[in-house]
Amino acid sequence: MNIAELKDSFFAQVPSHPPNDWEIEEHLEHIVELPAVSQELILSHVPAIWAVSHSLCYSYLSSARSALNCLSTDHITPWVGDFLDTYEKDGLRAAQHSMADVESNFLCRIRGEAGLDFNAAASRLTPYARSIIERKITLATGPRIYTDTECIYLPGKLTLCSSDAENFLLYKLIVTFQLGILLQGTYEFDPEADNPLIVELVNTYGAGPVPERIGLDLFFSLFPNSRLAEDIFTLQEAQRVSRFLAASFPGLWRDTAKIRSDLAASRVLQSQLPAHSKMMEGLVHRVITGGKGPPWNSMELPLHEQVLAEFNKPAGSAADSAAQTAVIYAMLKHVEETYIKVAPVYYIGRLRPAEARKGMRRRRATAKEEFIKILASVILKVDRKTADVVENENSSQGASPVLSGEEGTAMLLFSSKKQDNIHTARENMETPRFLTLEGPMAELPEPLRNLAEEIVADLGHIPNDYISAAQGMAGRAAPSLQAASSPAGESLAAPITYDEWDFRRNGFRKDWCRLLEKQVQPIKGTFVDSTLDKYKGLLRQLKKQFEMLRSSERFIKRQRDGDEIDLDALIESISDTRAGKSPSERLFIRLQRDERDIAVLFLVDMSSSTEGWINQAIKEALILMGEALQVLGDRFAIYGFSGMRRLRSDFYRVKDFAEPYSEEIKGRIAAIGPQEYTRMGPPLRHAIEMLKNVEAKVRLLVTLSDGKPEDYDDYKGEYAIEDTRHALIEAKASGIHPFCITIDKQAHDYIGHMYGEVNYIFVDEVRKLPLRLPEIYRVLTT
Amino acid sequence: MQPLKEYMITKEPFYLAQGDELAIAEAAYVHTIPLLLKGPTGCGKTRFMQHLAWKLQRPLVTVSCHDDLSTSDLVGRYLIKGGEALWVDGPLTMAVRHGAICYLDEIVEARKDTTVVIHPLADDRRELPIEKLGELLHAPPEFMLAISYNPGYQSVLKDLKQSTRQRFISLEFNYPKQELEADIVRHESGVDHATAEVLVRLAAMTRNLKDAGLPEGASTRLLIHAGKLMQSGMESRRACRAAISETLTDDHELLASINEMINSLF
Ligand SMILES: Nc1ncnc2c1ncn2[C@@H]1O[C@H](COP(=O)(O)OP(=O)(O)O)[C@@H](O)[C@H]1O
Ligand SMILES: [Mg+2]
Repeated sequence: MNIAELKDSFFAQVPSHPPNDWEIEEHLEHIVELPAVSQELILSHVPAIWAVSHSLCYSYLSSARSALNCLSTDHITPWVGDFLDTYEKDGLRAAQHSMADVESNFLCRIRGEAGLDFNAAASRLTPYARSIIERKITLATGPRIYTDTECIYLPGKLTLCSSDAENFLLYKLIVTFQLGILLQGTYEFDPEADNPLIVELVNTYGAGPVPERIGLDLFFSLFPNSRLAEDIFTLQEAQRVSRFLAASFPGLWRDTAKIRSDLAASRVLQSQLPAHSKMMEGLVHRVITGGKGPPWNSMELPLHEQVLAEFNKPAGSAADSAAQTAVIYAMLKHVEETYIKVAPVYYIGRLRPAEARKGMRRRRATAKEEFIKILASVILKVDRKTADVVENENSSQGASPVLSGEEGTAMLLFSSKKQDNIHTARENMETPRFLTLEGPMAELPEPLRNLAEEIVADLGHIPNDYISAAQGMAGRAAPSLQAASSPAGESLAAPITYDEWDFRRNGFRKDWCRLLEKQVQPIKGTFVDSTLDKYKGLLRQLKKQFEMLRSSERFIKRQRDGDEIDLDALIESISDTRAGKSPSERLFIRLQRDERDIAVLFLVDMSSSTEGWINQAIKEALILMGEALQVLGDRFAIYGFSGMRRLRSDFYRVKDFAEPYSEEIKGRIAAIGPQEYTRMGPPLRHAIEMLKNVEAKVRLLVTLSDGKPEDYDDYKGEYAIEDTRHALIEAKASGIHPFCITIDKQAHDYIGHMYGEVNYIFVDEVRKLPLRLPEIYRVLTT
Repeated sequence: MQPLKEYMITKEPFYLAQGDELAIAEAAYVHTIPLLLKGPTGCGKTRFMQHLAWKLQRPLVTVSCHDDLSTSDLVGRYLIKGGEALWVDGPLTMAVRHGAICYLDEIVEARKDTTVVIHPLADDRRELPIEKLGELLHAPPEFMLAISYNPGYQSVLKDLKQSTRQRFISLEFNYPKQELEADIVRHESGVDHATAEVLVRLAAMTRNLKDAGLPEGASTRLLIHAGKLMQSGMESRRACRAAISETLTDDHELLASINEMINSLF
């Protein structure tokens, strides 16, 4: 069937037509290329699914083809029954999920294989992992178990153990072990070329000239049999990390004892292993259970015990393990057979130094970039503040801050190059002219301090080039300070113009931006319905919660009239009368519905970067929020913003305060779509103006965005951050409470600075936004 | 005779300083400037006030604020006794009259119209008008006002107004450093040093969960509670679950995560 025929056939099956044809077409595209029998088979299930949920039916059409790839035709009916069950039990998303991976969600089960999905464990494992390491580690699935120091890769499903509880424990063991590798610094081993061990290895085995620093993979290649060296080192480190975990996480070690011994028992031992491979297999057992491993005959035993004695020596660092590796290698090097690598310990996997290096480099680069940017802005501020002082002192050196004082991690930034000034500065703590990255650090903004700590933890010190780069940046920014000051003729005279904050001059650029209000046109579609459907359960719960908020009743005392007598007040008034004072007439208690006099404006990021999931999640969140606010009765407005350059900030009206929340409005929410750039200042200021005109006891401005403000022109980096920050300060000054919700994979340090530490929240999982938004709103307003 | 004898703290309360907070507070006392204690719950603010009162040898009058607290509850009211109307000082008046330290705990919980009575006391007027008595009390130099509040992620309705906070010297409290905290937990709950250290590690782990939806991690107080349960023979994991995870959150996923931390550590 071609698409038109498919459509006819589809419509013949369903009683009600969906709102628009093209949407159906889009989904039918997925099966248009299949043979007619398959198409008919697929369509034959449509009525049943359509009746349950339209969204589910769409998903079914999209996944049916891949299902047919691995299911026989007579499995289709039970498969449909299966995900319909899931839908009933756990809702749309769960059903879609189960559909998407037919192989492991359906086939495995009918084949009688159970197993635990990573997704089922992730919500518990991710916070767990992040609690152990301060860095923002992520968990993801991948074909091999390892970590690149940013992310831990895990199997998508674990079927090794028989129960879910055990499979979960195994996941937990894998995650904790990879974290152990990070905490114990296995990947931080990169000795210099003149390290005695390296020199010795080079002399013994005659490797060619070596570079300045020896990373792990290079270290292995110093041995003629690098594969053997790699296995020894890996096991040596595995032993060290195991000891660390057993001591630090004794509960985990105890809980996983059975799993570990099962894993050890299930290792396949080839009969014809060469001696060194067999030794390694022995060490594997040692690591997993502390047991002996393969049977040893009297010939092998002495060597085995010799190796084991070295292996068991305490090791405090990866360098110790490296030294032990060299010793054990020497014991085994006489074996002439070809070395066969042993299978890695399941929950440890193999070390992947190259990946780790990439990950570390990525992290380092981000930290460096952020650090330089923030430091540059600090330098600029210091420069401005001290410009007069320095001039008065007649400093011949100019006012550029330089780095001095190299002892340890202490770092001083000083606006004069004269070393001895530092001491006077130290004594006189009030002087704003120096900053120290250690000790009280009172003058450095929090994000910079955190970054500095992170960098010191990583590299041991703050490299000079970070500081000079920041100085360079500050220097570059300074001249542009003059260049930026616009000639008077350029000021705008458009209907709505706004000033923009320029942190470099510590003042406003007058009438710098022009903002245009636009109206969003509603679209018809299934978005609203399918959202309401998707979150059916949540909505019911939300409505109940918000209902309770609305009817937050309380007794208020000392009223002129009321339902009950206020005994305290009465006694007081009698006492007052006796004491000859005029008594109060407020003698009643009244049950009062707390009036919620709250107006909230949601300001939504419509920049192009929100395209896809973020946009979808924002819209879903707004739909849920709208329903909840209906129950609550709080006044609300929704606006979107985007734009291109300072002369065109677009401000999209989705709902103003006066409009009732209607189907039309829902259609407009559905129409919110990604546009251009994110210049935060003008829309914030416009929203502030609007809120100023609303009479309410509490006025809230909630922004939803996906991170950094950025425009096509030079509205970027700290300039954009500082302008946004300033606009929010203006909001507070007008008695408006700003609150910012950021949707991003990673919390950036500038966010706290930009939004104010307690005025933002960070949502790292897009899918959670619809859940979080109403919850956040509830906390904010009770 | 010593007024407010029952409010005197005679035995030195156990307090381990986090920094120079004592020196600052004593200086504030000398200069009759009121104190603002900021910090998450359960990190030692109340204990610090007890210690300060003991050190300064002044009675400590503590009021836990709540949204039903009325001005009369602070200042005082007439009561009837044997047919006679009798004025009874509220805690604030009592503290002012006798030169005590008055500590208003969790000040933002009180309604704004209640907290305005502290304004004339908190600036250099240092006076308390008692309307019903037609009296204007002048605070003696020994009197000290201290308030506490938790600036964490909370309702916008409960922020401390600038006009209020600008009258105070602020002390920032945070969770103590690991070793210090372990010492506190050990001393207060009676668990051994090793257990105290593990509890502190657990707390540090929960405090890493800000972005995962736990704005405040386990406080020192919760650790002490868990320690006490263990001391009375409860199994460690059970004790931590009851005292820490269940107390911190109702969110199932987070709860499960915290329990996994507990299971790993104990
Ligand atoms: N620095 C400290 N020295 C001694 N005990 C402390 C300290 N910090 C916290 N504690 C213990 O923690 C408990 C809770 O502290 P508390 O002062 O009640 O907290 P807050 O008033 O900040 O909510 C106290 O009862 C005390 O046992
Ligand atoms: Mg307290």
